[in-house]
Amino acid sequence: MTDTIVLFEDEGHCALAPLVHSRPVFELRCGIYTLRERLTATLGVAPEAVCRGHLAAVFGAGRWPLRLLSSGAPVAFVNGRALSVNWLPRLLAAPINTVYVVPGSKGILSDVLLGARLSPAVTSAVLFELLQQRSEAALHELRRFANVVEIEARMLAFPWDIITENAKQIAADLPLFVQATGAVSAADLPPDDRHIVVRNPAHVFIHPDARLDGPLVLDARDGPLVLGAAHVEPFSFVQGPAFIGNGTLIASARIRGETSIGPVCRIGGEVEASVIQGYSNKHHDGFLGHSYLGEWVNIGAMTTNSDLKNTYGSIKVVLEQLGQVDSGQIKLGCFLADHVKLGIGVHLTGGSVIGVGSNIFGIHSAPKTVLPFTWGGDIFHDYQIDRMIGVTRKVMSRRKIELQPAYETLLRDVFALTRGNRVALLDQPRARGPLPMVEAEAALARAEAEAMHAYEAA
Amino acid sequence: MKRIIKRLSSLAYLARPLALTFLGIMLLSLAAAYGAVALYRQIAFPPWVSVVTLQMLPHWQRGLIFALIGFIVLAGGIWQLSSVAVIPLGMRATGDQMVLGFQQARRAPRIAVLSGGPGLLRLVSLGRQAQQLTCIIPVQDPVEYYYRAASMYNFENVMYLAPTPETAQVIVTLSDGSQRDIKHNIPYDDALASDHVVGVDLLDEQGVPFAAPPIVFRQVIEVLEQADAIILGPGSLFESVIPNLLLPGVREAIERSSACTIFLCNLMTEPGLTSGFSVADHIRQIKQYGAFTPDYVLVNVQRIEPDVRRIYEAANQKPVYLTPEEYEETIASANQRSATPDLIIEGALVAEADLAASTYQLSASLANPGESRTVQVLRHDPDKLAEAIMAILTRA
Repeated sequence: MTDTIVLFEDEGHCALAPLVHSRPVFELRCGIYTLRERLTATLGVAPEAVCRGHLAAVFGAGRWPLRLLSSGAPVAFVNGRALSVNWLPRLLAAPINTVYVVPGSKGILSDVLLGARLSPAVTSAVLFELLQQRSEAALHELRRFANVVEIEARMLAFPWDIITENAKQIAADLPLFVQATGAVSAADLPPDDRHIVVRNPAHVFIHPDARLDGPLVLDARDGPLVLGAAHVEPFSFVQGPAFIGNGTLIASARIRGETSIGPVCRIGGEVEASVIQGYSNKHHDGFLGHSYLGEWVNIGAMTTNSDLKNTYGSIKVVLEQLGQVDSGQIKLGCFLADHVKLGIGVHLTGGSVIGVGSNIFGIHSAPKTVLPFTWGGDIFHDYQIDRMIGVTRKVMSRRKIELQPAYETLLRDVFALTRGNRVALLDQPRARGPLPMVEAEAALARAEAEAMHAYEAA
Repeated sequence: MKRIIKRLSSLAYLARPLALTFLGIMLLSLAAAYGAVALYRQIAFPPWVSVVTLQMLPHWQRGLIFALIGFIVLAGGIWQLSSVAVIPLGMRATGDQMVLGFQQARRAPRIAVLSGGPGLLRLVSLGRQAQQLTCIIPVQDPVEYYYRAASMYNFENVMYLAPTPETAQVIVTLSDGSQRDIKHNIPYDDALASDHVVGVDLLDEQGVPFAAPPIVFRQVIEVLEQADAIILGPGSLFESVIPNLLLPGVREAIERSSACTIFLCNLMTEPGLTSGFSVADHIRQIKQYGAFTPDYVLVNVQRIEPDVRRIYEAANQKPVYLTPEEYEETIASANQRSATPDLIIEGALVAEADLAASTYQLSASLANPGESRTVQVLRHDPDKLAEAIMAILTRA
């Protein structure tokens, strides 16, 4: 009997907030695929999933996933933070009640439950824990009955891992992509437009339905370049390693290496070492580097992010529940969760994090941390959820996608779950915005006068 | 003056609605006045009307008097209104919060169920009223059976939990001295119809006695220890309830738990297993194998239709009611104001309630899934059961 494959979230999802407020960790794109897509391509069937309650109806097997155990087949659990799943075939061939763990290291104190192949009886005993993302408790219980095997595997721990692991993952996903789609390299099937310059064509893979309008340059000298059924407009430069998803428009853009762009995006300007989940727009000029964009993000013209400090120091990021964390990365851009909208000409500092559904406009520099469902510029407000839903409905309908009731409920749940974080916004509406000009000038004048007075007194 | 202004300022939220209300009242008054004038000119009123309406005075004096009275009444009304706390519904939280009409919601109970078979499915409507309903299935049953059945009905808030990693065999010793596997359809063997169980043993999958007590899942222990109620049944006493009580880990967890234990007594005796058993006999089995006395025992009081009774009698089954002897045993809980008197039998408080419903059931056996027939059966009614259990929990 074929094993039931089940993705699960563990305690580590907290460190990936706010990117995972509105999606489970296994729906984060890194490389060519999300983990769910990767498993589907590997196994030929979509895996089941258990995740946080508010996500379960849309992304999981429901809040009470009773059908997971109904077949009587062994259940193979896969940690949603895993990047590569090359260990999965070994697990599926292992005896029942085998558990794979990633041993604790300096960064991770305790062992991490990576995967497990369990009998229905043992599954029933740990399903409770996994439904509540308590994998440590589940592992504690499994150690009593199961054969525990330590293996090395790459996993997402912090949001910047999506950026730093992306190039490696594109290369790792390439054989699977070629196998799943039957794509052939440009060396075997070169583009018929002589204005398309292909560097290292053996590492360029172009979907037969891709529309490439020369002149443009596809450069795979630094890594593989995978083009789905996308449209690349003239004067574009795409450098590998990179992945461009189906239905995406590259509007005369410079796509530099280590970039993944999901399906149905509109991309212009310059993008470097970034991951764009899908259905997002950065249609105009402006730089996006070493950044992550969720789904349904829109970035206005000339909005740009910094990914390098003038001091060349490592960039710190403020993470929910963890506070300020030193990423250890010298180059790091911004993290925009799903449904974020940025107006024109907004500048983002390195390590900026903007929460789900925020709508920021009319300011020159955005704050480094913007809470989910924040609305405004000079003054920040709680984004009224009904209005946000209305905007979302319009945005999705432009891509011929209907806002499903379950997804609307999900957004409303995320709004409710993150409401506590925004209490400060409600009481101090001006706390995060820049001072009004008159007030700022007055403060400057007062400071100058005090400085002059102090100088004269000396 | 400052104090008066401060008090009246509490009406700030009401200024606009009050202004609109006054305007409306004024327009209605005007309409009434027009009507009154029209009537006054057409109908001859008795003399007292002219006195009440002050017609002996000039118009300006009348107006002044009514305006004065109106102002006094209005001021009194506003003053009384200002003593009432008025909070806009959409108001956001502030530092000085006032909570009005606050009522702490009662926490829904956590319920653990030790049962199995179709009886377990009769209890799931309780899941809607519980924080969580965790069903610990019999040690000899595969857990997937329950998940399969539950997923067909989309049960919510209900989880099924196997007690041990491996299934076990439950061997019963009958009153004729024979030993049989509980799974071997004893109730359908006419030769055993008058027998009953005198002993129960747990063997491993190979049919060998366990060298050491079987390991019980930590989750099972936690569920039992943290439950507000542990429910035994509904279901076959020796097939669904007793087997898990043979696990020392389960017994110890129940002993440690502060949960209210409720035993749902069978509606009918089971041929070969509980033939001739009274309510007290059922409770004695729980005490013997579980080493505890249930706090409450729920017994069906509903009379059974003659047609259904005949069907069961043909199958050597009799209803389990309280007997006259049991009624006479002890009358307890004189301080409890319950509709029916409670009895203590074998140390357990026994409550009678209407728990059963006669229903038609499409019956199929696992051995021959294609062979099915419709039979009239007596079952625990899910809603009645849930109501009776919640009533006990509220009381407990």
